[in-house]
Order: sequence, then C-alpha cells, then structure tokens
Amino acid sequence: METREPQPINTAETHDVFSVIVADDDDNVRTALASLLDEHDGLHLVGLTDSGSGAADLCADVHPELAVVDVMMPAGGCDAVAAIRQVSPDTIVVAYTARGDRHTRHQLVECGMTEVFVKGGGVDLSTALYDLMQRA
Amino acid sequence: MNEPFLGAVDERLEIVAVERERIAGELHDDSVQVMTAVSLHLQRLHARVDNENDRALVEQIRKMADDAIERLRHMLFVLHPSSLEGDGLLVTLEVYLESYVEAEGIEWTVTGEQDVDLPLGVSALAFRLAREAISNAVRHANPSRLAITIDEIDQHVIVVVEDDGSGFEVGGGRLKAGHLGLIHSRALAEAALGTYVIVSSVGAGTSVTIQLPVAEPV
Repeated sequence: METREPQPINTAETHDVFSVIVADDDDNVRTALASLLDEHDGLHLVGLTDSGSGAADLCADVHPELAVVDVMMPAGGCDAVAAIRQVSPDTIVVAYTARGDRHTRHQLVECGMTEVFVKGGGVDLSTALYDLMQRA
Repeated sequence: MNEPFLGAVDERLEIVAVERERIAGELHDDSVQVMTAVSLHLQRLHARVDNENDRALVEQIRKMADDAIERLRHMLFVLHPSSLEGDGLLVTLEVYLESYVEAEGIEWTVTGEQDVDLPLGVSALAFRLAREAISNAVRHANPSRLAITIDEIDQHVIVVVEDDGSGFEVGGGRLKAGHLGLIHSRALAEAALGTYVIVSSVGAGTSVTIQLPVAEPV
C-alpha cells in the first residue's frame, strides 16, 4: 500500500481537483492507471494498493473523494465497496473491471458502485472519471 | 442409469471444466492485464502528443489494443465464462447473447430455472454446446429471433436452442458440407451420456435440444 502527501485541493483560484486512490492487483494495470489519473489536471492520486482490504485501509487514512477498484482481485468489487463504506462513507467508489455485461453492471451498482468502467472499453478514463466527479 | 458410472462421467467433465478454467484464468491474469496496461499508457501518450497526425496514430493504436482486449475477453468467455460458477447457466447464456449476439440485431430470450447448483462440469458442457448451437444459427441461418429454454427434469438438464432462420435439411447439405461443429457437439454430448438432437427443415428454422444427465440431484 502506498500513500502520497495530500495536496491543496478545490481552491477558489483553480478548478476542482479530486483526490483518488487506485486498487488493482495487477502491477502493470495499477501503475498505468495511477499514472494516467495523476496526470489529469483535475485528479490527484493519493494512494494505490493491490486489494480491496488495502483500499479500505487507504480510505480510512486519507479519505479520498474517489476510489477506483478492480473487481477480480482479493476482496475486490462489492466486498471493497462494503469495506470502504464502513471507513469513508463519502468516498465515491467506481469499478474498473473486465466484465461489462448488464448482469455484472447491475450487481455492482446494486452493491454501491457509482459507475462501472470496462477494461479496454474505449473510454478516455481520466476524463470520464473527472466528469463523473464534477457531476457528483 | 448406473449412478457410479454417471458419477465418473461427471468427474471427468469437471476435470475438463477446471482445466479450461485454469487456461482462461492464466489468459485473464496475463495477456488481458498487459493489454489493458498498454491501452492505459496509450491514453497517457495521447494527451502528451501535440501533432494532430501523431495523436490520430496513437488513438488508432489504442483502438487496436482495445480490440485485442475484446477478442481476448471473447476467448476467455468461450473457454470458461467466469459467471458460470457464481451466477449459473441461465445468466451465463444471457451474458453471451447480450455480448455477442445482440449486436447482430437478433432478438433473444432465455427462459427457465435458475441453475446455480448444477455441477460445474455439466453446466460448462451445457453452455459450450448451447453456445455452439447459437453461434451456428447466427453464422449460417440468418435468424431474427433466438429462444433458449433451460429445464431440469429427472436429473437431466435440458437446453433447447430455437431459431427462426433459414433452416436446413438434417443429414443433408449442411452436415455433408463439412459442418463438423454439429457432429462434434453431438459426440461431446454422447460422451457425457447425453443427447444432442437437431430438428430442422429448409425455411422453418432449427431447434437443437441438448440433454445431459446429472449424477447429483439437480
């Protein structure tokens, strides 16, 4: 589990900057996703981890505004949402998953995911997450 | 039917299913993740490139990476859908139809009982045979509708795949023309002590009935 120093956010002079953590058990995906999000002007990476329980620990420490979590990882998906809700109820949790069918989406939204993003889904992910946070 | 013998068949089906699951798991944990990381890094690169032509090229490469992920995902699904164990055969067939048939403009329905308690080997083989029947209909029969029903009767799982497509003469042209998939499907069902029955005629659609025994109570 890795954390970064909080930065001043949401100042009157700048547009909104949202703090975010990334949880994915694949090193390549976690690193690439974290870098992509941190390079967006409106997102600030404050931690990354490789499990759902690690995500909950991070949320308890830094209370990020957004958590992007893998589904097929230890304690991922709905387990991760439940654990994060316990320690940081205001954190918005979104799924980043290989499965994007209606049944899976419904299950993930039912258990508390605000949105479901599919790996390789053709979406500009950092922009989509920033837009989501602005609407939230 | 001899229960111990049927149990041995179920065990063999389970071994096949577990092996296919292992291969699918390795593909997911390896190739899909690497390609996902490539796609994410290309999104980073896209934001850094100023030249319009270069940006278009990066975007083109990224789309190819996403296509590769989609093809790998399809391969994983064909090998061993991860939904089979947690969600059962009915939901897995719905996911398949939604993901790979709906885009063809074909209406579909799946009706029947929830089946999460089916032995993994049996549900995996039932899915594999049903998927092949669906795929054959889509590729060869130009249907507008597909109707799939699942029943569990007398320790048998019965899956019926019906289409309203062009149909064919059973035992005639389509089989003789080298459609080995149908012959292979029938052989797979019979090896599991089940049956694979095709009813079709030219212009009247096709019905495929897959019946597999289950050693344990369904």
